[in-house]
Amino acid sequence: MDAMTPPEKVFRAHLEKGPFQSGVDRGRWRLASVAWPHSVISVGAADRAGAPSEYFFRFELSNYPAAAPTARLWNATGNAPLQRASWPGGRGRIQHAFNPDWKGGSCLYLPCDRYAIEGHDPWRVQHSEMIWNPKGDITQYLRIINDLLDSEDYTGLRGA
Amino acid sequence: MSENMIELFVQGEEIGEVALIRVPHDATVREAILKTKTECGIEASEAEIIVLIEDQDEEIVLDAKLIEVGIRHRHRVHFHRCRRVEVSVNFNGLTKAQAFSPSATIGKIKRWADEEFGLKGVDATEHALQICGTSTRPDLDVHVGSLVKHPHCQICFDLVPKKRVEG
Repeated sequence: MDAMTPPEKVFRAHLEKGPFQSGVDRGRWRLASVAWPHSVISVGAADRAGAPSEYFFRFELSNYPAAAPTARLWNATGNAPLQRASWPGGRGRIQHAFNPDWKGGSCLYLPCDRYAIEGHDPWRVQHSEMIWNPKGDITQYLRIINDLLDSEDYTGLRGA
Repeated sequence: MSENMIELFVQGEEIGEVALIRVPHDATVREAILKTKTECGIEASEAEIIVLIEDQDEEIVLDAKLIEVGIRHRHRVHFHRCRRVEVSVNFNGLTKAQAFSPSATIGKIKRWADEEFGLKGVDATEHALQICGTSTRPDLDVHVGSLVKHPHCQICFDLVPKKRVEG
């Protein structure tokens, strides 16, 4: 019996397609694991002294892609939420998107996030380019994170 | 995947998003076009299509083998009927224009626009190219040709700031 749900089948199919594989080939992101409805994906970051070259995010993907994913920073080695000192830090857009004090760090403060968009209807106009499109794939979310971690606003580890 | 097969990232006219196609390593460029036509539903005939490598201007000979023209596993190619794409970019009330290869990435065009408008460092990374009259900001890896359809080989962008998510 095939126990894989339709959302998982769609997600795994998207992982094999051009948009996701193109990002893998560029070193922008890579798959670490899938344990449905979760998937851990690492996203590349610009070189900063004492900071990692990638950060791991655990995505919760129930009802993908009809529902937007939600993602949190993840310690892939310990299989646990990432400690706040190890979060990406920086100025401007970085400190808003990666805010460990918002909802206890359980999701990113981005319009493409399932939980962050709740109660933020004005974002649908103000940040329409970052709203989740159910016709798209996980790379919508990954591109936004990668753009942040590759920006001048990103300065390295957040620290204590 | 068989050792005799290679994967190519393909973008171009009538290809909505980057496609990953698999062809024999000794296939010709024409065979790669035909495979892409089938998989992506491209209507243009292969006789009309020109083939380019990402960010390069030289057209590739259709009957050459991929390996003979330096196209290898996971290389990036572009199929289009436009030979050049006229790109214009608006910023601060000024417009700059330049013709690019259809295989030029948005990243390459963004760097050109930054140079033309004198944006450096944080000013450059905090702006993005947005298609005029839309909220669409193509990814830096997108080939500009995939955004236009022959015979309309032109496109307009606004250079817009990336806003902080607040509120």
